[in-house]
Amino acid sequence: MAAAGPQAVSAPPSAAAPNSGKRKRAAKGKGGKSKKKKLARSDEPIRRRANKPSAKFLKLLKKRARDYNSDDDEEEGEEGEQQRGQRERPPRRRNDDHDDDEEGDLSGDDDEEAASSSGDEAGGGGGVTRFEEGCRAFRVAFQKIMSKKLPDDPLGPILSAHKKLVAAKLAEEVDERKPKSEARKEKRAAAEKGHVLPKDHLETHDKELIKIATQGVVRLFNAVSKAQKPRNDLNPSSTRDAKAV
Amino acid sequence: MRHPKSGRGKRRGRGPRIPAAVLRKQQAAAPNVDQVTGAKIPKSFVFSRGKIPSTLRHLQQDLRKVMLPYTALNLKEKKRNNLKDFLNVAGPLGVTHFMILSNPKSLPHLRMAKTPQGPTYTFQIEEYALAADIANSQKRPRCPPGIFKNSPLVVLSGFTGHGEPYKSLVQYFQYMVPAIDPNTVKLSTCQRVLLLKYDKEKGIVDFRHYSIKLQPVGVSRKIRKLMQNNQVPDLRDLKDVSDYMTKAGYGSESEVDDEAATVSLVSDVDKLNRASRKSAVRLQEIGPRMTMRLVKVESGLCSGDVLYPVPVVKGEQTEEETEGQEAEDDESADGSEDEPEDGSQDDTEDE
Repeated sequence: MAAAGPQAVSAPPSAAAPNSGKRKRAAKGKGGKSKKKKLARSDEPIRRRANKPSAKFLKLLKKRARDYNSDDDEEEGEEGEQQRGQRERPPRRRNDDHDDDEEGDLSGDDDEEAASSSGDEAGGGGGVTRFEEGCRAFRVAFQKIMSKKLPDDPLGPILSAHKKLVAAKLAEEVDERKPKSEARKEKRAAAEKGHVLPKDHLETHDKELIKIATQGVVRLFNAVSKAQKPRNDLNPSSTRDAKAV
Repeated sequence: MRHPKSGRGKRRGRGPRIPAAVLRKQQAAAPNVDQVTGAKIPKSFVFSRGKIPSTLRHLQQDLRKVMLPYTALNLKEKKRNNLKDFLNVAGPLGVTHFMILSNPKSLPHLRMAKTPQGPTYTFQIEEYALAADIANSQKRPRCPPGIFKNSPLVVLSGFTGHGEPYKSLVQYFQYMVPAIDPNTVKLSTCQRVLLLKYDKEKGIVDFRHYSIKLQPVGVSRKIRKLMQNNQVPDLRDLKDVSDYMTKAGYGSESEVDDEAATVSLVSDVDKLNRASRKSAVRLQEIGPRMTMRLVKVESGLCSGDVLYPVPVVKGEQTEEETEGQEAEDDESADGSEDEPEDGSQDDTEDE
């Protein structure tokens, strides 16, 4: 009983999502563990196309949702079978529309009973768990990714398509860096052209130069002293010398 | 730093912005006419043309310090300033010499020119070292800021006997700094030396800048230190003061050189170097060090006829000769020897 309820409840949310998305998920779901999922997924597109369920049916679903108790799963399993029977009818109606749905339905029909026990949780959830099925699907997918053993890639965990891009970019960067740094080094060397750092001790050449400069200064000082010295000898008081001063 | 008066609109492309504060200081400190000799004091601008790397900018600043005080230390130049702008400003300020740094084809060049239509000497700087590099290489760098208050003495060597263009170059260097009158100059104002030595074989000119230090000769090191430090020495381990004086100390190796460099001072230079005492002249290198090669001489300011290297015209021998003669006539002959060429007065003293 509860199975029908959840199914109907899930109809509006499933209608909201785009068709193609559902299809993809359906395709992914094919590799999924639970076949019940397949059945549920294959149901979804059909569900959307189904006419709006009757008010009476909606009432029933609401009642079921109220009364739903996850502890009652076993019971619901029996009821689920009945519901499955109900569910089959609408799919059968739509058989001509979609091949994959057909296949899904057929396989779903075959495996229905076998999977009923495993699908009980989903079945018990029914329409309510339609959303949860989606969550569960995500959970399963996520767990699969997390349990994957990553190759020891220096690039880190990247989706495969992006990996190539990143690798290409890194390679490009490395290539670029080499000529850039070389160009920079050349520029710096050209700027320093001719700049010579002096050594700690004086070279002989420099010593010679200092000597020459010293000689020059000495000559000047001697000339100055010669020019200025006689003044001191002169006596400013005497008139004759005063003129010279 | 901008004086409020010299706002942005005022210059109108008339040349480098010289902040009014600097202008006033310059005019106060560096009168146009020398008080003593009456001759015009040569002033200089050191600037650069084109893009130059940062090391050359440091060299430019060092050269400005060499040319102090008669130069614009904080000269600001803009990209759009032409040579003409500098010329326009040079006139009213009384600037007579330009030193232009440039870096064509990544080779640093230095142009020395005389304004307004003087000859231009272009040197290629083959090697250079900054003042900071030299200070780093010395154990005791000595560069008290007071030594930049007076112009340096210029010492030229090796330029004689090589004819043109070196004769005119000698004249140029002589007049780059204000003349020194031996009769009136105070020895305490002679604190720096600029040495330019020409090496004929290599064809290069060495540029060196030293600071002058006078050291009294015949005074033991201890006494000298005592006078300098003004501190009472430590006499704990000595029994007698005479021990302090007579204790054998190490003689410095440079004392031998001092004998050749001894001068007798006329006046008191400072506390240690008194009048009529013997002192030794000791130089220590400051400032940039350059090795330059003369590559071009032009008769105008970065324009005009190329006087050196002598242009070779094939099959026109006579033209060459006349050109050579003209060049000689332009420059006045001025005998120069290995002696300080500080002013024309010097020649008279040597007679």
